[in-house]
Amino acid sequence: MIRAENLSFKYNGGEVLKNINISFKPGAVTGIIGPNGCGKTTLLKNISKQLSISEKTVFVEGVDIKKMGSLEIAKKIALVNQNNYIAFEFTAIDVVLMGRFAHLKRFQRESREDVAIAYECMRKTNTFEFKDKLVRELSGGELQRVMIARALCQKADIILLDEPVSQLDIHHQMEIMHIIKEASINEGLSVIMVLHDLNLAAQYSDEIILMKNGGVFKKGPPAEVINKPNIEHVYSVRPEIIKNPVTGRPFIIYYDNFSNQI
Amino acid sequence: MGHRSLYKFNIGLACFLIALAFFSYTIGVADISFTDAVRALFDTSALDGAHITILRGIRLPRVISCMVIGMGLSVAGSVFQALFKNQLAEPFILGISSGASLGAALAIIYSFDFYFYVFSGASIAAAVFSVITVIFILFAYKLVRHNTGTLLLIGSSISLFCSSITTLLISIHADKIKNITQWSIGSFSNAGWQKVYVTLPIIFIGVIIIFSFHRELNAISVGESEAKSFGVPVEKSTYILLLASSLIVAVAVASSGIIGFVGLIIPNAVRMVSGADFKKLLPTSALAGATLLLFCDTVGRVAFAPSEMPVGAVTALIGAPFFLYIILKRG
Repeated sequence: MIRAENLSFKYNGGEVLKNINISFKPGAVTGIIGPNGCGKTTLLKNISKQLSISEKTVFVEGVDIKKMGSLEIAKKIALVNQNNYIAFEFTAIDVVLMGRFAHLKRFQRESREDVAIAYECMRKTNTFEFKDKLVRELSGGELQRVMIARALCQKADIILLDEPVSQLDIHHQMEIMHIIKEASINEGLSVIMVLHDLNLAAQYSDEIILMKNGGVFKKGPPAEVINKPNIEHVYSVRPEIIKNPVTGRPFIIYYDNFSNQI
Repeated sequence: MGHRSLYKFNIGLACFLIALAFFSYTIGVADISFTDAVRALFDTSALDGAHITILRGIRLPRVISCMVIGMGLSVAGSVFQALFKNQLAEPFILGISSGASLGAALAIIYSFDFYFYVFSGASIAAAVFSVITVIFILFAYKLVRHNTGTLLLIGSSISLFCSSITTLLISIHADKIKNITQWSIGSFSNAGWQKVYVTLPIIFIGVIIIFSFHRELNAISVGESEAKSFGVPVEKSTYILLLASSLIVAVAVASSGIIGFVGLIIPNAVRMVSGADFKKLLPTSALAGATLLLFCDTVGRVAFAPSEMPVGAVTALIGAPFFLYIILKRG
């Protein structure tokens, strides 16, 4: 699983991650939350070596990610980005099959097995029915599911997702969270995802990482991290936290910080 | 289109290409009968010496040149489109051709009259300048960070800059104007076996390298971050692909001058049939590119005979409206 040690990261503008020390829980769904600009996405890009990082800061199953080749990393970590605009006329199955890249040699063709894996991942994500449709013609929810199918098709142990549901309606949000959760439970996948919606994070995560100003503010199970003082402190809002009557998880109701009317 | 029907489409296209090549070989200004042309392919003993020269020394290498360069330009065009994630990327539009023209103009004006093998100083200068332009565009691309809209504008400004210098040079050296303008419109009128011996292997090697990178091309055309997450060594692949495709363009420019729009028309038209998957797109593009360029050259050769229309003018005549069509279709 992934571990970060003394991980700091600077863009040209300034320091975005400050001395982060965390290890992610294997086989669990970890939700990363925090206000805009706190470094959530940057953390995700660091632990997947999308950005060039320093030596001995990120370890995947004990191995320094800096020393791992791109194929090696791809077999361990799959990534679903936030922005999934595709400029060309690829079909859904074309995109899902791209997830097999790390498993194929240069002059090797996709085998029946590769195609079978792709189909299986598409069935799991309810995308099989439009496998031959162009991705450009898919709705936001459909496209996101195709992207998740592609990540599953990579057969990595760890999946990173950057705000997978932020642009979807509530039904599609639930659908995608459910698919991700199922994959984690059934296949022992470790899921690390950045989420904006704290209630979704509370409902679906086994563990929550609450970030503030480039550092980890709190880490733990939802009930421990999502409480009134933490949310109030990190987000500068006035929350009221109740127990979700169905799931038993914390559920947040917000009030703004700018008026006294409650 | 499914695998099987695309396969049939390719076979049909290949048959058409062979028929076209045969037709193009047998037709021309010189009054040579069809049967003589066919006979010259197998047996030269019974034919007039001048006719043999025309058929085997001029028409045949010309037909082959057209096909090889048409293939190379369309494959290179599809690579540029993937690397820049833009359907409109093409050597001509990115300013590479204007760079090449400038190189040729400089060589013509400053009388680089040497010949390297069959390649004139002008064509070598053009090839070198096209490679320089590619490198420049690559740096610009790194600088604007994936913003392909800006990239096309950079291409246009390179294009304008180079062509204005060329114009300036022409206005100072008015005596060379004919050579320079002739050069800047690609033509196969100087095709010969010796050029084929160089262009054919280089373009074939470039095309094979590009074919073997079809999965990288797919991944990169989806996005660099995605490609990286699939396990593609993005930078290394980009350099290899850019090297292979600019080599193709440079060799094509050196051998037949500037032939625009083939690399734009073909991949975009073929994508409508094959889809974007490079495994399907590349072979069909190669065949279709060979067909289009041979067709354009044959039209240019025959339509206004005995005078000849340069193939670059014919492709531009078809290509410019097609370019507009793609822009309008994209909305």
